[in-house]
This record gives sequence, C-alpha cells and structure tokens, in this order.
Amino acid sequence: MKRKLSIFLLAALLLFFAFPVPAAAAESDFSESATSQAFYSLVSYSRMCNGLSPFYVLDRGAGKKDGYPKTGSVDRVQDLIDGIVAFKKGNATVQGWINTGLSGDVAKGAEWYAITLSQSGNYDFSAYREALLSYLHEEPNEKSPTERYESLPVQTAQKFALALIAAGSHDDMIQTIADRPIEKATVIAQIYGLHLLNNGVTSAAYTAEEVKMRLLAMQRKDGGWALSGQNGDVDVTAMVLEALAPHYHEAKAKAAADRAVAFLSARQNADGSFSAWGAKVNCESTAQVITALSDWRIDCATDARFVKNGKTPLDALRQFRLPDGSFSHLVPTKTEESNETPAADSPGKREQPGKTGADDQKGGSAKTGSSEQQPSGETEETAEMPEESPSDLTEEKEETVVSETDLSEEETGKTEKEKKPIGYKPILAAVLFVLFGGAALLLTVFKKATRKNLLLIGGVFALSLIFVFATNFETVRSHNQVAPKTNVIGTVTLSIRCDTVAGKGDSDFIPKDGCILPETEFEIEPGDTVYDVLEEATKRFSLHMEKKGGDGMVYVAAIAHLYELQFGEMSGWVYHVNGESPFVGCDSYTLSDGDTVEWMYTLDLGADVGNTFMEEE
Amino acid sequence: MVLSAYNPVTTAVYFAGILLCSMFVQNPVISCLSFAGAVLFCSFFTTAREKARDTTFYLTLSVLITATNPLFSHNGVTTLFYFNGNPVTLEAYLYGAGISLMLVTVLIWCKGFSFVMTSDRSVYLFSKTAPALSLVLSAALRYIPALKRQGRKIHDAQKAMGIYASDSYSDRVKAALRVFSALVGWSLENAVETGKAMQARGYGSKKRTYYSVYGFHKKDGVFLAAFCLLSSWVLYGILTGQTAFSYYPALSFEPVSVRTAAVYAAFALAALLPAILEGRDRLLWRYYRSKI
Repeated sequence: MKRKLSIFLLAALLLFFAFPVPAAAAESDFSESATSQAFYSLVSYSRMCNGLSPFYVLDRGAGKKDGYPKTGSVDRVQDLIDGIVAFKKGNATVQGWINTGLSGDVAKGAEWYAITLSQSGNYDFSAYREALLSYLHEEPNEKSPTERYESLPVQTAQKFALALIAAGSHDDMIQTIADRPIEKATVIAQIYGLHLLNNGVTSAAYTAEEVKMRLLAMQRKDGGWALSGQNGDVDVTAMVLEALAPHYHEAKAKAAADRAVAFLSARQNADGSFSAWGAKVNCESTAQVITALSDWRIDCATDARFVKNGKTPLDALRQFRLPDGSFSHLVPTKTEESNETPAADSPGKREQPGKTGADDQKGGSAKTGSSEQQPSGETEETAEMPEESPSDLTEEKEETVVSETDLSEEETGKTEKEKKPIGYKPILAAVLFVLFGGAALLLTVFKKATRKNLLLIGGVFALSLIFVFATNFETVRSHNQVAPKTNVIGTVTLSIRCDTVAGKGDSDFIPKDGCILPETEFEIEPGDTVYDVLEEATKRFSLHMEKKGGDGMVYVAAIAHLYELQFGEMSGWVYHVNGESPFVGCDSYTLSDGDTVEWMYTLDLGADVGNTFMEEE
Repeated sequence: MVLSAYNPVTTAVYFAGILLCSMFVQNPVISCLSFAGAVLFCSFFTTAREKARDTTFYLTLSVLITATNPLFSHNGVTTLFYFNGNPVTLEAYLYGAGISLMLVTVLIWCKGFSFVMTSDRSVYLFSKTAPALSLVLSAALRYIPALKRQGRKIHDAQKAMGIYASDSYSDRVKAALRVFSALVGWSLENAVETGKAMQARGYGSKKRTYYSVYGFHKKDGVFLAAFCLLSSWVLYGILTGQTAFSYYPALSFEPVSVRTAAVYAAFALAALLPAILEGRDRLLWRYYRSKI
C-alpha cells in the first residue's frame, strides 16, 4: 500500500508539472463487418441518388424506379464504393469475386456483400446461390436433428432468406423460413420479417400490418427502438427505419419515422458520427444510420438535422477508412489520417511508403496494447511515431512519460495502468496535494507549524488519498464503454429471463413475457467469466445491475431492478451454463467457445428453474 | 400553552395518531405537511438561538442520510454515475431525502410532545394503568435536567479550583472524565437517599391515591371528535392507496385527483391543528392586551 501510494504520489507530482497525453490504444485493424456495413450504406446512398427503391426492396439490379425522387450526389460516395470493391475483389473481376470469394464465405459474412452487390448492379449469383442452398440444406447430425435451416434461430434464418432472394433464388426454403412465427421473437426478427414481406413473400404466420403494428408499439418514449431497456438504440432504430421505408406513404409509419429521425439527430456526435449508447464511436452504427436515412430519402450530406459542426455522417464514415479501401471498426489512431479525410482523394494516393511502414508497425503494436511497453531500445522511437505533427515540446513530455512509466512498471509489475487515459484520480490527488501542501505552507508562514498540526494535516491528507484511490467514481458514459477485444477466442450466448415472476407484481419493470435479454451472442477473450459477459451485456444494453462483493466473490443482487429477496426468502438470481448449474461464483466460472449462459430469477433457490448441479471435481 | 389546558388523554391520543401517521406513511406530501405542522407548533416555544441550533442539527442529519443512502441502495432507473461498479441513482437520493424528512419530522413532533407532556401530565396519564411505570418514568425523566445542573456545578467548582484549566485536548478530556465520575457518584448517592426517604414516608405500603386537576371537558370532546373525523378520513385514504408512493425503481404515485387532494387537505388540517390553536390563542391575547 505504502509503496503504491508513493508511486501514486510520484504520478501526481509528475502530472502536476507536465500534463502528458498518453497514446490511446485503439483497434484500427481491418474489420469485415465494418467494411460490409459501410459498403451497403454507401450503395443505399447511391440508390437514393439514382431514385431507386429502398435498399431492402431487392430488385436484383433491375433498377425499379417506383417514383422515388432523386436527391444527393453519387460523387460523394463513389470513390468509397470503388475502394471497397477494389479491396475485396483483388485482382479478379467483380463476377469472379462473387463466384469464388463470396461463395466460399457463405454464412461467414458474405451475405451482406451479396445483398449489396445485387442491389448495385446486374450480376450472376448462381454460384453463390448454390453454395448458400447447400449450406442451409446440410444433413442432420447429432448436433441438430433437422436440416440446418430449420434449426437456425429465426432471425438468422430470415437473414439467409433475404440473401437467397437477393441471389435470385425461388427455393421453397424461403417460404418455410417466412412461415416461422415471430410473435415472441426479438425486434430484429420483426425487422427481417417485414423485409421478407416487403419483397413479395407471404407468410402464414404474420402479415405486414401485424408486424408494423408490433414494431410501432415497440417504439420507446425517446423515439428510438432497442433490443431491451427503456432507451432507444441507434443501430436498432436505424434498422427499424429501413424496414418501414417502403411504407413511407402510411401516416402512422411516417409519424413514427419522424420521431425516430429526430431521435437519431439528437444522438449524433459532434463529428457527425454515431455510436451505440456508451460505446465508442464505431463504423457500423454510422453506416446503419446512413442506410436508414437514405431509405427515407434524407440526404445526410446536406440535411441540416445531420450536419453537425459542418461534419456529415459521410465525413464521419470516411474516418474509418483504411488506406487500402477497407474499413475499421473504430477510428484509426493516426492523426494524419483524419487530416486527409475531408478531401476525396484516390486510393492510390494514400499508399505512400512512409505510411504503409507506419501501418505495419501499428498492426504490430495493437496486440500489446501500448507502444510504451516494448523493449527499451526501440521505446522512444515507437512512442513518438504516432505523434508526428505536434511540436518538439510534446515530444519531450512523451519521453518523460516513457521513462517514468518504465520505472513504475518495474516496481508494481502492473502493465495495464498506462493503457487507460488519465482518470480523475491523479488530478484529484494533485489538487489534494496542492491544498494540503498550501495549508502546511500557510502554517509555516504564520509560525504555527507545530509537530502536532503537521501530523494532523499529513494524516488527513493520507486518509483522503486512500479514499480517492480505494473508491472509483465513473460517469455513465465511461462505465458503459466496452473495451475493444483484441484476442477473441469465440462466442457465447447469454440470455436473462425472469419467467418465474413474469406478470407477477404490479411493477412496470417486470417484463410480461419474462424476457429481460433475449439470446444474444457475445465475444469472449481468454479468461472471461460468466460475470464478465453479464457485465458487458448490462453495459451494451444499459441494463441495471447491482453486485455485491469484490474480486473472486461477486454476487449478483439485482438485474433490471429485479432484486433478490423481492419475492420471498428463497428468491434471487442464478445462472446456468449449458443447462447446468456450476458450483462456483459467477466470476470464477471461465467460459469457453460456444457456451450458453442463462441468468434466471428463482423463487426457490434454483429448484424451480431446473437446477442440475455439475459434478464437483 | 393551549394544549396544556386539555386533558392529557386528549393530547396523548393526538400525538400518537400524528406520530404514527408521520412514521409509517411513506409519502413526501404527507411528510411535508406533517413537517410544517411540527415546525410551526414548536416555533412558538423555542428561542431564536434554539431554533438556529436545531436547524443546523436537523440539516446536518438530513444531508448525511441523503448523501449516504445512494451508496448502499443502488435501485432506480435514473443513473447519475457509478460508484465502485454499482449505479448511484437519482431515486436513491430522493429516497434518502424522503426518509430524512420523515425522521426529522418525527424528532420535531417528539420535541413538541415533550413541551406539552410535562412529567405530572404523563404520571396522570399512566397512573391508572401502570402506576409503577409512571413513577419510574417520572423519576427517571427528572434525572436528566438534574444531572445536567449538577454536572455544571461540579465543572464550575473544579474550574474555580484551577484544575485542568489549560486549553489542550488532553486536559479537556481528563477534566470531562473527572466531572463524569463525580457525577456518577453523586447520582448513586442521590438515588439511595431518595429511595430511603420514600420508604420512610411509607411508599409502596398501600395502594396509591392521586389528586388531579385534569377533568374531561367539552372542548376535549370537540377536539377529539374533530381529530377522529379527520384521521378516519386520512386512514380511509391510506388504506385505499390514495397516498401510495414508491421511490424504486422509478417514482410512482397516485395521480392527483379530488379524492387524493381531499385526503391531503384532511391531513394538513390535522397536522396544523395544534399550531392553529396556539396561534389563535396568541392573537387573541395580543388583541385583548391592545384593548387595555
């Protein structure tokens, strides 16, 4: 403690004299999902410019006009579209990319490229179609007793059905998928269901009217939509807008859309981008909004509601562009990148030797998190690399930080500390230091600096420092920020349910269907526990949660305002992994790829939700 | 004091009713009305200095409760910030404020109760049902001011002798300890003496008789009838959920209607009853004096 304290004091001192800005470690690598979403948002924008139907009305390159007005200018996005196509097709032709690349990547993210390509030109998708059909028809095995397309979650199946329509298939499978009921499914399934109906498919389970009514009823008070919780979510809101776009002439849909557009405008960031609540600015959210706005014939490059400080969502999207034409999930860290973005320059110009070198190096350092942690010989060079433009002064500061952090690293053995941006703690500590130092100084000046008084001041200073460093205050935004994952080893499914008390009590906060979070996939890193995934879920969907206890013995007291003991002595939250109840605390159970985690509210110490205890080893 | 002119039973019933209502009805409107009634009533009997002292004490108490409640209670939909990974919510702050208002209100009513219920009145009240208890109570209650007085005397005497006169903390603590030990000795001796004196006068040898000046007059009947009428209306409102109010997870309450307003009005009248009586009395007094 004492040692730590002295290090903190040192840090406080250092901060007080030189305010260094630590290099923020951000993931700026190529991202498949970011690239594909950017691609379809750009194509939907160009479809708006050409007066074509909304993006999800799949006309397969036929270019049906349907009387939509032409707005916007294709020039704003054409270079970006060309860049993505050039990046993806490599040396082949576009048709070649479809025949080999896309068909090989079936069910691995190729669907969005396929739908987008079908909406941007007239291509032959027969190879892709066959590949997708054979994937979906995969024979039953011990994992799934039926053919694959019947055992897939409804919204995943709907996505494939859409891809099939885009690829020009008339297979019966589309009808089978459309006939699956979606009444109790998530808002995403409603959206895809409406997309299917918008494409002329008829369903035995639902009509367009029903789905629209359900979607409109799901709209939150703030005008947005969300998977769960009271607040709207940017991505889900944009997706609902896309599904409602072909119904723009209906008064109810139009009114709901106007509120949603106002919601999106309010949630736009100062640089024109969008981010999910609490999450970092990301490419996917920005792209999703561009698609939604284009489908509603709102030119986001000129509409006053979406130009913030002269920055449009299209400008924001450019920030995520990498030199090779692809897109990254988060804004690349290099400063010169953002300096160039306003000018629409050709991809060729970007590939200068110096920069590609810097890129390689960045790729290498992203894994270790921060360049300051590399062996001492290279340290100073690499630390200076990301900061090229600022003056010599900042470089000097940078050096002092490096040497200081090296020192503390040796002493504490903790390395994650430097990754985080400066919190309030060192600043508060510095303020306290100045305050108490000033008091001591005043006492000396007025000749009252007796040993007793100085001891008192020192004691109070030490106590307040302990308080500052033992507690942790966070804003809602920073708390809900989910750190980007660098070493994903797989996905797990998480659901949170309270079926045992659904409909009980008169609280508005207990969902009628008992579903607090439907089955949702989360990526995990090595060592992630059940609690880590739950915490990430509560952050992503801004769910309420209360925990008790600290590291190694966390106890979840409440989720979504539903508390333990609220329904009797034996009530509370329990979790199952793959249907079994582990014998350890939720932050001691390490997850592996493919696990299914369920959190359930029990009224009887877990007996009523089917506890089956794992063998203790 | 007007209430002193009433039968002790009347005043006891009134205070019991209003205290129970303030303690168990979790509704900020009820708490505020009750608080206003208690403060107005007590303000007739306290000096400005006492008022200032009480205000600082009650303010500190309520600020402490309001500030600490959110650190232990994390329910509520409006998250302000996170403390050690748990949400700190607006609802928790409001709940803390509500609870502290309730506590302060009850404390002030108790203070008012102590003004009205002097020891002879409480002896009268309990002498029939529990004579031994009322005797013990009156003797014990008498000890608090007596000890205060005696402590002051001892302290002054020691100061005059020049013991522990310095300003330092350690000396002050030592002086306080010395006064305390002398006080304990004195009170023990005093208790033994009192006991012996009572025995010598034949206490406990026969059933006690008492003399009382408190009769049950017409005004007692009127007061009790009015209070019972108001309180039964309030009770009806409470039982039918008119005053229901909950802080967690989001503030929820019965929307204001004629019925809820009527319940609040009845409670306001009941809570302000002593203050109104006292105020009317004082105004009359001034008026009569002005005519002399």
